[in-house]
Amino acid sequence: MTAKSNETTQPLVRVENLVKNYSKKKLVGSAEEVRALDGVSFSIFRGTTLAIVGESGSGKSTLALCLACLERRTSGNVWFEETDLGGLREKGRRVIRRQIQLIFQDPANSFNPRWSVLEILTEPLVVQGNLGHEEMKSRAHVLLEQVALPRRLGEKFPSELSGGQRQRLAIARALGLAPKLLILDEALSALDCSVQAQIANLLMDLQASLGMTYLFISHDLAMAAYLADEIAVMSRGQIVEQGAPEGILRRPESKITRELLAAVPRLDFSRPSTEP
Amino acid sequence: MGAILEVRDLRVTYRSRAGNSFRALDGLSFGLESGEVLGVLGESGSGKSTLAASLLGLFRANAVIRTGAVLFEGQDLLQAESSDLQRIRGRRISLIFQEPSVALHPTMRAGRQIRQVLAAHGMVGRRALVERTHQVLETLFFAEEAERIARSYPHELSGGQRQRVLIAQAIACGPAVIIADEPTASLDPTTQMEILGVFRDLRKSLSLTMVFITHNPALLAGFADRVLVLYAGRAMELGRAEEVLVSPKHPYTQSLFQSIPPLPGEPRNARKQKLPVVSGDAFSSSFSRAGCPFESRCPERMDICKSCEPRLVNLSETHTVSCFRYEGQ
Repeated sequence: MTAKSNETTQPLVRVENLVKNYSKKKLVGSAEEVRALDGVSFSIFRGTTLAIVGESGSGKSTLALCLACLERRTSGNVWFEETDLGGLREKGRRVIRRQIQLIFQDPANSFNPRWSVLEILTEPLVVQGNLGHEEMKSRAHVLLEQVALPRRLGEKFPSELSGGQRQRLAIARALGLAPKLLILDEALSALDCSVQAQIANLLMDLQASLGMTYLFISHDLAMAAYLADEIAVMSRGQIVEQGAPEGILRRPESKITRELLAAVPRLDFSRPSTEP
Repeated sequence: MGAILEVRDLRVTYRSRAGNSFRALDGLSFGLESGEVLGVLGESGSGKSTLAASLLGLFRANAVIRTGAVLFEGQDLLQAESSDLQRIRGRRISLIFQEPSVALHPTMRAGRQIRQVLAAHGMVGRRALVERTHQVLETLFFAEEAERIARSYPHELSGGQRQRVLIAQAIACGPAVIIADEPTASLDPTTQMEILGVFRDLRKSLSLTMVFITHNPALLAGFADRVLVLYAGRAMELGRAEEVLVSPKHPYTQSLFQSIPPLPGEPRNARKQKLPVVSGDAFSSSFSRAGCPFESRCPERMDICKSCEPRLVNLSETHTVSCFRYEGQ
C-alpha cells in the first residue's frame, strides 16, 4: 500500500507555471493555437485532496492529462515527488503512470465490455508482472473488498453492474497498482445523488486507511467543498482563486466562483439561488 | 378544474430476451391540472424514462402494458389509434430529451429542424414556416441572435443553445403539455440554471403544463408545484413541492435528501465527515413481490414491510406517502 511518508512537508505534486497549447487545425489556412492551460501553479500534499472546479472548457481535464503523463506540457514544470515529469522520456513516463491513476466520469467507457470484473482487476497486475495466477486472484478479491463490492461480482461483466458499482470497480482497478495520486475527473458527476454520497464516503475511507492523495476535478462546488482540503477555481486555463473551501465559499472573490456557487441547487426555498 | 393529463394504475414491464420480466412502472397513478408543473424525482432504475415515454404512448418493442390508462383530455392514449397519437405527439404533448446533441440532426440547420416539426403538423407555406420558426426562436434567444441560430448546425452551438433549440421544437406547435426528461442533466451547472430559467419564463408566458423529470431534487425547488417521488416504478411520496422538499416524510425521500452534501455555513455542515447515505445498492427487480420495494434499504423498516405492500396514506389534502410508518395516523 501507499507508504505514509514522513516528509509530509514536501508536496507530492508541485505544478509551476504549467502551459499547454493545442493546435486547432483548420480546413483552410494555418493551424491556430489554443491555450488550454495558461500558467497554472499549485501543490498537493500527501494524504490531502485538492479540488479543481470550473466550467467545461476551463482546462480542468487538460490539467488531469498533463499530470497523468498522458499529454506533454508546452512549458512549465510538473514535479511528482523528486521527478520532473516534463523531462521524462517515454519509459520514465510509464513508471510514473503507475503511480498516478485516473478515474473518469463514465467508467463504462474505460472497461473492456467482454472482460469479467476479475479480468479487469487483474490486467494491471499482469502488467506489473511479478505475481502468480492465484496471487493475482486473491489480490483482486482484496481490491473488491476495499471498495466494498461483494466477491460474487467477480464473474460479472461491466454491463451487468450498476453505475455506482462500475465506479467502485474503476477505483479498485486504480488501487491495484498502489498509486500515490488518484485523479478523479468528474468521477461522481454521472451518478445519482445517493450513489454520489456512497462513492464520496468510499473515497474518504480510502484516504483515511491508505493515506491516498486526490486531485478531485468537478463542476460541483458543493461536493468539492465537502471532500477537499483546498479548492482551486479554474477559468480559461488559469486558476482564478484558490484556498480553503470555507473561505472560497463564504467570500468568493472571482466572478466565476460566484456563478458556480449560485448554480449549486438548494432545497431551501427561502433562498432561490436559481433565479437567473 | 379537471385534470388535463391523468395516469391511472399504470403497470409496464419489460421482457428480456432470456424471458425475465422487469417491472418498470408498478401501479402508478397521478393527475396533472392544467398549468401545473409536476416534478418527478427518481434515480436510475426508478422508471422515470418509461414514465416520460408512456405519457406520449411511446413504448419499446419489449414493453408490455399490464394495466392502466394515460388519459389526455379524457382520451386514453394507450388505446388510441396511431394516427390519433401522431396528431397529439409534438403538437399537443411534446417531449424534451436529455441529450440535445443526440436529439438534433447533425447535418441539418437548426431552423430547418424546427420547420420540419411545424410542417409535420400541417403548417404549409415556406413563408409561414419561416416566420413561425423565428417567432419561436425569439422567445428563446435574443432577437439579434435568433437569425444566426436558425442558420447554425448543431455542432456550431453550445450545449445550452442546443437545448434551447430542442425546447423551440417542443413549443413550436403550441402544445398543452410538455414532458421534459432530465432536460438539464448533460449541461454545466451554470447552463443548467440558465435552462431552468428558460422553463420558468416559458411557463409564465405560455401557461404550460409540465412534467419535469429529474434525479436532482434541488432543481425542483422554487419551480415545481408538486413533486412525485418515484422508486421502483411506484409513487413513494406525492405532495406540494414545499411539503415534499422541505419536510419529506417517506424514509426514502428523507435519506435521499440527506445524502446531498451541505455547503459550508449551512446546518449539518461537517466537512470531510461521512455523508449519510441510502444504504445498499439501487433498486433491482429482484425484490420480493409482496412488500415495499425500499424495504431492504430502509432505515426504519418494520416486519410488515417485507410481507405487505404499503398503501398510499393521506397526510394532508395534498400530501400522500406510501409507507406503513404513517398508517393509522
